[in-house]
Amino acid sequence: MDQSHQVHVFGRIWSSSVHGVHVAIYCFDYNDDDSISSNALKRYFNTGTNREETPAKKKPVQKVAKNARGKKKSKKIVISGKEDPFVGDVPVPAGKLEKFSRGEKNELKNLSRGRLKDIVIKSEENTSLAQKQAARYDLLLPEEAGFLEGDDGEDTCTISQEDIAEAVDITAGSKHFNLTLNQFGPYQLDYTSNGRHLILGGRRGHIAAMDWHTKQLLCEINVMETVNDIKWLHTETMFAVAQKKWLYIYDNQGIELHCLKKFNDVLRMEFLPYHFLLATASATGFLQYLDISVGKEVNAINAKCGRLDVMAQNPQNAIIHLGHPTGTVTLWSPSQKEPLVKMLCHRGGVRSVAVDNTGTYMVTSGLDRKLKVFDVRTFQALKSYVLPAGSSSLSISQRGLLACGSGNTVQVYKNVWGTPVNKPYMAHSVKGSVWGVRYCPFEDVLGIGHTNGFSSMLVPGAGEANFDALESNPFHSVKQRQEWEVKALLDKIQPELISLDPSLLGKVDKATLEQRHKDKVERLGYDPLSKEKFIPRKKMKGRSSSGSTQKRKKKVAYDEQRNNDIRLIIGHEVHLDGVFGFMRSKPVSASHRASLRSSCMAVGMPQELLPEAVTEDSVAHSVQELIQQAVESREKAKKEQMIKEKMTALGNRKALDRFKKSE
Amino acid sequence: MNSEDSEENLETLQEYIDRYFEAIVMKKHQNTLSPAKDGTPSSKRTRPADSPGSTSPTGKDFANILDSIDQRLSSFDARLSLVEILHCEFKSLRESLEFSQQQVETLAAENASLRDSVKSLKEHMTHLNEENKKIKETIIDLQARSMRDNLVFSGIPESAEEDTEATVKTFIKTHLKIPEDSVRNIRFERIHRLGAKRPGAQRLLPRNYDPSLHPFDVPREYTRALNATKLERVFAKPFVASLDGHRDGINCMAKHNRSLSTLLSGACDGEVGDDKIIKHWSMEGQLNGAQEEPLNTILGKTVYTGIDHHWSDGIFATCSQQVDIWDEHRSSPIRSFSWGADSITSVKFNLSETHVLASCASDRSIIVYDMRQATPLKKVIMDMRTNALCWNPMEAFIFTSANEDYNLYTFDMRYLDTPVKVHMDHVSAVLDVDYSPTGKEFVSASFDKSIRIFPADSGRSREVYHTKRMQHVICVKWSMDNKYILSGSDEMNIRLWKANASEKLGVLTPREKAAFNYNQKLKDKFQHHPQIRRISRHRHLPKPIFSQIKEARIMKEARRRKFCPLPPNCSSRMEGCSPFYIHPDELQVPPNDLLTALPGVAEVPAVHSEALRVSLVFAPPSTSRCGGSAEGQGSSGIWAPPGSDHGPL
Repeated sequence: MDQSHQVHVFGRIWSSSVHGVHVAIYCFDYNDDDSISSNALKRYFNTGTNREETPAKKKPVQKVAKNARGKKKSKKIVISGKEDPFVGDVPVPAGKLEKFSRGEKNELKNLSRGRLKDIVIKSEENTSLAQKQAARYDLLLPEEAGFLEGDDGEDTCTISQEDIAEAVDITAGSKHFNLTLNQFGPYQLDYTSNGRHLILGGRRGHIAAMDWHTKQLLCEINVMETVNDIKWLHTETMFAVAQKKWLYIYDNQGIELHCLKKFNDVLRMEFLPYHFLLATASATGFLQYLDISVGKEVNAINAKCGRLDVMAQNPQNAIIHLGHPTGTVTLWSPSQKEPLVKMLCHRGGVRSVAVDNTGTYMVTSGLDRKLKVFDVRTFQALKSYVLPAGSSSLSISQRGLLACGSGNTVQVYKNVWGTPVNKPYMAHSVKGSVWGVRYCPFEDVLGIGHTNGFSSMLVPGAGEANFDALESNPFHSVKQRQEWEVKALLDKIQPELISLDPSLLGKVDKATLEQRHKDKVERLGYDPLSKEKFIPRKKMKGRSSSGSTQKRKKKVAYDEQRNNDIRLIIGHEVHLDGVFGFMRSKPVSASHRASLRSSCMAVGMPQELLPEAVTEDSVAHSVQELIQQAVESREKAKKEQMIKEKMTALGNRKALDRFKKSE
Repeated sequence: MNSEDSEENLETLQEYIDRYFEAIVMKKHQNTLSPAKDGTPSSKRTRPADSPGSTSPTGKDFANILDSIDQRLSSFDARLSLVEILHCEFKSLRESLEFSQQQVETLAAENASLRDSVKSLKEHMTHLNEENKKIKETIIDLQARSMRDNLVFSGIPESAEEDTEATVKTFIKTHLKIPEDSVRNIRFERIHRLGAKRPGAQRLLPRNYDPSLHPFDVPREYTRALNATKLERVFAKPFVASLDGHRDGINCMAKHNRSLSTLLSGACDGEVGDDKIIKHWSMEGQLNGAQEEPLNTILGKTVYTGIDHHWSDGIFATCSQQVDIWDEHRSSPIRSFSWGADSITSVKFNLSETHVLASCASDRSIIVYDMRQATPLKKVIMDMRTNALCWNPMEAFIFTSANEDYNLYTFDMRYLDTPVKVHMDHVSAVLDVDYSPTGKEFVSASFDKSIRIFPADSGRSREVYHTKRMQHVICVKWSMDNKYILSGSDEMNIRLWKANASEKLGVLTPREKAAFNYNQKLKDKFQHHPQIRRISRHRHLPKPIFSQIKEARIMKEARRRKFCPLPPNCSSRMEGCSPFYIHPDELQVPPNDLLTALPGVAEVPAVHSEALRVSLVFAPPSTSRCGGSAEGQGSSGIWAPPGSDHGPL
């Protein structure tokens, strides 16, 4: 959601609130002609019918001017003369403010004073205003979330579903139900992104789609084939079914719309709602992406890890997580043929993977009966738990409750990445082994598919209490859904933009030194740093024989090498300022002398050489000499080495002896 | 041997004794042995007193030896007692050590227990802190809620025409179980539903701005920005209307400074003559095309080439061979300026500094005047002729001149030696320029049959307008509502353009307005992304302009290579100038020896090397292609590209 839009909306909502006995007036500051987002919302208070306070009437104008700088200390003027009990701005709780922050602030340090700085300052102001407004608006949200709390000494996991269903109101209670479907199980399930519709897919071909709030059946068919996985597409009008051989797409009447033969032996599917991509993992080891808005395959990646039957998506960056029998979890984006990240998570194979709604944590369970929590920003393990029976399926709710299905029980854990947990928040056992678990968005409900059908479990505090009607609205009408569909398609993000950090696009791309150099070369048409190749001048009188030109060439090469050596030594060992400040001849300051001393030490020059009234020349001179010596000794050593090598290569012992003698 | 010594050499005692006995035995058998030799086996430590003093083995010697042994034994006793004492001391030490060990152990245990308690206390503290923080947050939350001074009740069903106060009161009575008396006493300032009423839909869509519910904010905004940019290009239809009626190329236009719908235009209409007349007309009369008589007619001495009226007073300025300032009520000029006798082509009043005016002459000069002074203020001579100029309405000291060398130059009148900015993009002489009333942009008309819009501070144009039928554009004006541009061209038409090509005309609904603003903000935000920049910069150009731009680029590149053939590491040849890079977009000072070779500046007003910048890089191939007189151009109608050898038309 963009911030400018927010500000606009808040303006609307705010203006509807009434402040004390005065009319709240909102003035838009049209100082700049940019757009609404820069129009900071300001308010001041009309003094109403009080004629005595004539000076107060002038005040609003001054206040607006003051407010333009973001400093608000407006004092309410009340007719009755009473003191305002709450002077100043409406406070915003710090925790709330943090929740609505969108990344770090821009650094102003490196910006020179200028237009860019003004722009940055202004945009920062707008951002912080939007953040504050959003945090304030949070107070107005109609619903509040909470968790189940037991009596003293009572474990919440011992409370049965029936008790909860009895205790809550009828509508909520009706959300706990069981469907006994013992013929075609075990069942996989999926909820639509607004949590309104449910689809069940039995392994032996039974498919049922329903509006589970009203328990109204949309369609029920049997595809007479193995069903591996089932997934709603962007709306409740279409769903994809991974059948024995191929991938099929049906509409909500159960009519087959497409059969995609390019997608064969699909075992698991994930739908990326903002990219309109259906990611499929197949028994042949391929991860394929289908763009469902145009019906084209975007990419087919051979994961080279064998059969792929563990899959999850990160809802914050649309990265696909695949679990493998080797115990590794790999992260994929459609733009790359190689995994973005490969993590070794378990000693045995990975059985299930889940990523939380904030895109921060990944939970995996493996054949080694361990449940591990990873931070997917740093790819480090945070917690490791041992589950007695392991876990075959995992799901994380919008508010971070983890559901683990193992055997015929489902356990729900609270805050697995925070304090170490030792007992589940809730537990429920079903009449068959658990096949798939999935939380319903915006509801405190966990759907469990098992061999004997489907169970809907109440998990207080699981879902987000307040939905955003423009993002996903559980109560939308058909018209609203159609409108939303068009808008969502217009906002479809291209698959190339999927990366580990989705906010990268909004950040400054600081050109590297290499890039800048490359640009410069392109701009100038030549490389300003490149060295011209030395071509010896043609000399007359026979001095341009091939031998002498070769000699001259060698000399140049030698000089160059020598210069490079000096540069290297200086670069490594000497503080550059200290040594190359020798162009000027003036007394050195104390601090400078200290740095010179350190440079002297670096090249091995005794400090005593540095007199009190030293000038930069003298130091530079002596340092220069030292450098000269160092270079010379190095060269000598090199020369010796070279000659020795040559001699030994030739096997000319005599020459070697002669050389030694000369030494 | 004293005791101290023996203490030192306790371990060698036995050795000594052995040696003595040995020595005695030896002396028994070898009486003849010299004392020097006798002394050899003793080590350094043996003292002369210890060694046998004489060589004669007598009873006395034995007695001596016994004495010494006695002595030694007594010293042994003393030593033994000493050892005992030491032993005792050692024992006591050990005891004390054991005791202290015990002490340490107990202390360690105590320490551990203390540490445990500290740890638990710390945990407790952090717990308390957390709780404290939570409580503080809730207090702030409550305070924030109370400071709103309002209550939101949700879930009250809405009837068609409801009395909101009554509804809330009944709600409070029935649901909150508050007695009726106190409910009656509650005073409400205002009660209303949230959001506007919308038929067939909810009043207010529930929103939740939690960032985790709105993922991919940046990529989605980027996609929207991309779509908005594409739509902007799709809807870029700048041409609004064409006004015809003239029977010759439009020579000049004037916009009314108070009426948006009034525009005056002038053309030669086939008549060529030098009438040397100034006519003063009234705008009060009917504008239905009926012939009118001028209020006043002044017969001058020379042919007038330009005229401009003061923006508020009854004063106007004309230019011919000199600049004359006239009062509306007088028949002779109140002031005349001349500086270099040549024909002056245009004169313009400053909008904010109303005494200042500027003119450009055919001797390639721009002259700035102050009406209050008797002589002109300043003069700058360009290397080619300036055709027109225009003052920035917002920054009084800034003016922009349209030059024959395809460029426009923005000057600060205080520092005429260098232009503030050089605006390039036209491929032929620029004939007219006019600022938008905001002073942020200006429009230029060119002989290359196109008009371009430049941001005032940018060297490149943001927009180019052309049509198939539009010929050389002679004059251009930006309307006073900042929305339209009017161009008068050779082929007898005045064209009306939108200043913002994709702007939707007419009344916008609030939602449309909001959407446009939102899209504009997005486009600004992502304007530097390569894809978006590519799309927003794309313009279709007529083939001649396109090819000439290409040609100009090649020429510029060639010139750059000529002036700067050497990489900068050879800059030592060019003494006195810093490393000499030429960026195609930057004007640079050339090395001194190149000056004479340049298509030069005739006169440089100030002895300042930077003044040369104007003329260096962009010297056009031919100088006098576009003459000043519009009649001549209009009649020929054929237009030659620069660089061809057609010469002046």
